[in-house]
Amino acid sequence: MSIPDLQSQATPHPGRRQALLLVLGLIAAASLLFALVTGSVTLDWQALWRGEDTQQRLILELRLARALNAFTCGGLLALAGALLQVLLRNPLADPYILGVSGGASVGALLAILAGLGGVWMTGSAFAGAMLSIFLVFVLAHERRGSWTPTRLLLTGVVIAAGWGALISFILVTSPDTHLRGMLFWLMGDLSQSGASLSGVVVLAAGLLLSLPIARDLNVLVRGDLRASALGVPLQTLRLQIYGLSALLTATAVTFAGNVGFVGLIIPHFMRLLGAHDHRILLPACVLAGGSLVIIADTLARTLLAPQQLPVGIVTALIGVPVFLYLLHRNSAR
Amino acid sequence: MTLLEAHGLGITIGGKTVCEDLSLRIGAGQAWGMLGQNGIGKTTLLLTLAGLRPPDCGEIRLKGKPLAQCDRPEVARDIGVVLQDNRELFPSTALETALIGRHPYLKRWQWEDRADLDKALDALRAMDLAGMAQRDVGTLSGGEHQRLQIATLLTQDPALSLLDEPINHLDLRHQIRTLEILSRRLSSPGRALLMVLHDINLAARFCDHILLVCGDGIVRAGPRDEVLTLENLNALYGYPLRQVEVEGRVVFVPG
Repeated sequence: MSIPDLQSQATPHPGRRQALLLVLGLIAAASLLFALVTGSVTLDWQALWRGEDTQQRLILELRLARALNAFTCGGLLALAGALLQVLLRNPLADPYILGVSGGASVGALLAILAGLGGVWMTGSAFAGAMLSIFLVFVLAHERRGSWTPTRLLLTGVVIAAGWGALISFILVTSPDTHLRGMLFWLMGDLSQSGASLSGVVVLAAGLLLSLPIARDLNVLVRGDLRASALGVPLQTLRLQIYGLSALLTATAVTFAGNVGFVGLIIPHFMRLLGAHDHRILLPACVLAGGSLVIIADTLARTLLAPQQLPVGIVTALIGVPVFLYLLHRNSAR
Repeated sequence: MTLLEAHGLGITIGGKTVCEDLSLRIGAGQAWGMLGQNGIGKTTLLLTLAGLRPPDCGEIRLKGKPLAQCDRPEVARDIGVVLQDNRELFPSTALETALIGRHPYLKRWQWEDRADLDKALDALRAMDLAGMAQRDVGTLSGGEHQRLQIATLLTQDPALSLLDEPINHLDLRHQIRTLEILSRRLSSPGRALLMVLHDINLAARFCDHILLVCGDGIVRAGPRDEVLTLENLNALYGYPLRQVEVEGRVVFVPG
């Protein structure tokens, strides 16, 4: 199915709206397969099927775990991005805009500096993210207890800038031996993360919790007053979106660092394909974001093998031209 | 039947008093026109009547029940609001925007069905937007976008319609057409409408009740012929008007 076909089907006719999700599901399956068969060792499927070769099975399991991590990371970020763009009513919003990743980064860098790894680093990054979420949440409140998107955005951006300064401070004062690990973490890196079931659980829970409010998002995206006039409970909904997107981002950042671009571009990419309705857009973002990061990560570990690239570089290198092409094609219509 | 009633309503905004002790009764079948200078508080009063802004004092009742105690989705089935300045920031087709009007009627997991879709398409057709159902709202002109707002209200099909300058940006033909469509809805039982207008003569033609927001807390409300007098209008706009008769109809023109 070509892209224009999908676009003309942006109507609410039953059956048609699932076409995009079906195509994206197939793409996700194909990218998973691509990740499994790509690498320095060529897999012998017959041997695997017979279960004789343990080395081959180990390689398959490693690749599968990493691909699932990549999918989870991409899905979390794209879903968080779509939610935050509605919350802030700002097309430029991405999962990192409110400083969640800054807090996580400071936590992770401090752990690296202290020579800690594994669970300690993950825990430290997650604690940093949670601290940032809490700070923004408390400081963005106005006296009457209400929020406005502008105030939330400004508070988040300022907190993010503060974290940015701290990150720079840690980087310039750290010994050279730690620098490479820190930079990789900051640029988004899936090579360090082990199999992480918690990410999958958070992604599934995030999607399940956001689908019931997806139609409310369709209304909220058209303005606060209009949403209230149509019976949407504004403050409750905003809190739900903030909590969900913050948790999704914190989880993604904790186990993959800052994988840029996915959370900003995938929601727009899906909208350009005609997924305007959040009931379609949210699952579409999960599938497309996951696929993009699987492909990017597979390329990141093979392009310059044996050297590995931070996956964030590759997501941007793939995403930027594709997105610019789509944008250009849409405006040319 | 009374749809919406206000008792002892007091509203202040930014240190200015919009109304003091205002009592109002909007009955089924009535069309209210609200007139007043820019920035005098017409939108604030409209939003308060819609329950989107709490009044400083007094009470508003919807079908006899205090509005503040009503369940919001329930209110959205009874009161439809058309706001000013509602450009959309994210892509959406005109049809998708019109279908937003069905939101209050759908249950949590329910999707719009054929009947909802037909309602939206009928509304788009009524507002001369049938050919633009699949157009992105970002590509619509100001007037087309305004008509889409009305189409969304028609899709919502509420008992009471509150409209803030509904004929803004519209050409002459669409102004009259839109007001005719809105008036025609009143022939169904249990319907009423209140709209902010800047054209006295259109208000006189399409409304049977008038609300003049004069500033300093003074609001004159009542049947058209009692309220829409030369003296009241001169005071309202602080500008002299003249009253002329054209083919048996009274018309107000700037003096």
